[in-house]
Parts: sequence; structure tokens; C-alpha cells
Amino acid sequence: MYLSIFTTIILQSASPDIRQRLTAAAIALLIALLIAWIGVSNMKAKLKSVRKEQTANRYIREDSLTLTSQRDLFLHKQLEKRPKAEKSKEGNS
Amino acid sequence: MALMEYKCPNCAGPLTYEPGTRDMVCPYCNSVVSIESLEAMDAILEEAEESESQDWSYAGNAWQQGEQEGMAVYACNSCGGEIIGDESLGATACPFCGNRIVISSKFAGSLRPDLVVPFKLTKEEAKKALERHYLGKRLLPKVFRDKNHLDEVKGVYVPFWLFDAETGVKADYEASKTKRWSDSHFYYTETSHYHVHREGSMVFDQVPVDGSQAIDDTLMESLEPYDLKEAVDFQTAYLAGYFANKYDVAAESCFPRADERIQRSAKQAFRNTVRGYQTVNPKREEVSLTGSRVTYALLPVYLLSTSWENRNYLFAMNGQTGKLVGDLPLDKRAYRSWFFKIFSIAALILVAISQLLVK
Repeated sequence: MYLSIFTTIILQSASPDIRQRLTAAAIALLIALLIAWIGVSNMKAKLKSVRKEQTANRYIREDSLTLTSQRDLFLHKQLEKRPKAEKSKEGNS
Repeated sequence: MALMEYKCPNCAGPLTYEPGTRDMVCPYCNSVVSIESLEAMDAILEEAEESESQDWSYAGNAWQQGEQEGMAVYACNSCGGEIIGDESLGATACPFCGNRIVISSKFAGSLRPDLVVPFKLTKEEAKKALERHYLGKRLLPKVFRDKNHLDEVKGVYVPFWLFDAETGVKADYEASKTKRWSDSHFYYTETSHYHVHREGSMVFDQVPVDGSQAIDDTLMESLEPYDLKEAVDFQTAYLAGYFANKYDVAAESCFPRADERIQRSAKQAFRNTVRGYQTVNPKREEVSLTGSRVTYALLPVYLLSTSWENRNYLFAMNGQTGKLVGDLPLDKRAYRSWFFKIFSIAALILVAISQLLVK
């Protein structure tokens, strides 16, 4: 919380250029934190190898899946229309 | 209680099954005896067991009432020493003379396993596999890796139920296809909705479920797969030199676990037949078993145990494929140190890049 207040004060008092640089550095630090967390989580996951098997996929007899009935029935259609923002006209005026 | 020992015809030393072969070896005179020739010997020993069956009984006179529950006492044929074990104990070694013993009555009649997957790998290979298991684990405490000693390595034949099942599947899905385009004024999104029906069957072969209460089910599932094509008809000779338990969880009690896995796989396989859509949501998925069969098998597992900081760590290795599993302790100091190292390097690079990108 203190860090965010401190950051807000600095960002408000600094010039636009410094503000941009500080914002970029703060984002970079956040990404670095995320990378570090992913990195150590990956290392931690390597310590665990005892896991429950969820499926029996490796015990399916080869080519044993037989479809006796299959139906793909079309029900209805839905159309959504979204107007385009007319940037070029606004820019020229 | 019938005990079965395989003695060397040359020097009477205890024979041990040689992993990966169909032979038994005498560790004293190096004689090699084929299992085929021992099959004939088995029959003779079984006859002898019938005539001597009264000689072997639970020695429970000195025990108080209830104290003996779940426990069995056997006498070693070689030295006469008393072997106390779990009621499900099927093969062990005499603690007094080291003689390999198979309690054949645990695998007789309806308790006789249909199949056994013989050990292919040795105890030494299990130890090496554990050393390899430690490699590349940066957060494993260094002391655990360097100074830790194995308390015990045991080759155990674990009882498994293998379920064969034919499944019938009925499934309905809600599916949709989306098309997007635009003209000079609008973006268009057209979503077509479908009802998809699939019905059919599929077959599962030998889904294994551990039939031993004492052994952790998750640990055993982590050791899969076993190549069951290499399974052979059960012969007690394969148990010599290893520990073995008979099943103490009935097939009916194990089936729900196999069913859970079969159901999940069947649903997944049928969902995969619904192709060409952007979204597929199941509305109804029914899996019914139309035919099933169960086989009783003994599968080879090495159990390696070690203790560190008053905690026991158990590792298990598939005695056929060499796959080793077991959770390892976390070094919290190393965790913090690596977090700081990665953060510092990433922060340095990313902050530098961010400052270069800002005009």
C-alpha cells in the first residue's frame, strides 16, 4: 500500500518524461517478479513426482473406438453487428 | 502355513530370481536353475505341503486375545527361526538366516495370481536411479543429496487388479461455429449453434488398480505404465528373493477407481470425435460398462526409503521399466536465493530494455 502511495506521489509530481520512464520501470519490475515466481515454481514442481493418474488413456485398445450413431444437427444462427469507428473522418475535420 | 524355499540342488543355498531372465541363481556356488525345471518341483512341494500342513500353524498361544489380529507367525524351514509378519505377507527373507521364503499358501487356490511381471532390474539399478532422481533438482537440500543414506531397498511384488472393460458411450454436446467478417461500416460475427450426438463403444485392456492396503495408491499409479505384454503365468519361483503380499483389498472395492479413470478417458475420446467447431460443451455424457473381466497380477516394485530431519521419504521404482518416483524435500533458503537471483537478472534486463524503448 505504502509503495503504491509513494509511486502515485512520484508519478504526480514528476515531469511527463520521467513519469513515462518510471511507469516503464515499474512494469518491468512487475514482469521480473512474475518471471522469478514462474522460475522457482518450475524448480519446485520438479521435486514432486507422485501424482494420481487421471485417465486410463494408455489402456485403450487400439482402434477400438466405434461410433454406432453420430448426428450434427444445425439449430440456429445468431448475427452480431458492431459499427466501425470512423477515425479517418474525425481526423480530417 | 506352507513355506516354500528354492534351494540350490548343488549346495542347498537359497536360490534367487535373476531379474530379466527365466532363471534362478545360487549366490553361493553360482549355479543357474531354470524356472521351467522348478515348475515340476513346485508340484512336488505342494504335495508335501498338504501332508505337512498340520505342522505349520499360527503360534498364538502366548499372545493375548486380539493381539494377534492381522498378524501371522511362520517358522523358517532352514533354521527354524520365527518369522512374524502381516497376514497378507506372501514372500520374505528369514531375518535369522537370510533364507528366501515364499509362503505359497498365500498364492494358492483362488488367491493364486493369474499373471506376474518378473523383475527386470536389480537393486543396484534402483539405487542408481535414485541418484539420478536427485539430479537437476536445484531446490533439493544439498545435505539431503550428499549425506543422505538409504535406510532400505526392498524388491516387492505388489498385488494389482487388472480390469478389462467394454464401454458403451452416449453423449450429446452443444457446439458452435463462429464466422467473422467486416464491410466498410460494420464488423460482423455470425455464430451457428449445433446439437451434436455421438454414440458408440470402446474397449479398455488391463487398467491396473493396486490391491494392497499398505501401499499408497497414488505412489503406485505414478509408476505406470507397465508393459503387460511381458507378463507371464504366475510361478512362485519368481517371488524368491523378493517380498510379496497377497491382495487385501478385494477386486470389487478396487473397481470404482478403475471405473473413474475409464469413464474420464471414454468421455474425452468421444469429445475428441466432435471436430470442426469453435466451442463444444457436453450436455449429457453417459458411460456404461457392457462387459468386464478382472485379472489378478503381481507387479514388480522397488521401494526405497530414507529419513531426513525426522521425516521418512519413500521412493518407488517400477521394477520393469525403471521409472522412479518420490517427492523430495524443499530447501527454503535455496528457494529464496533462486527467486532473488532470477528477479535481479530479469529486472536488470527488463528495466534496461524499458528505458531504451521509452523515447
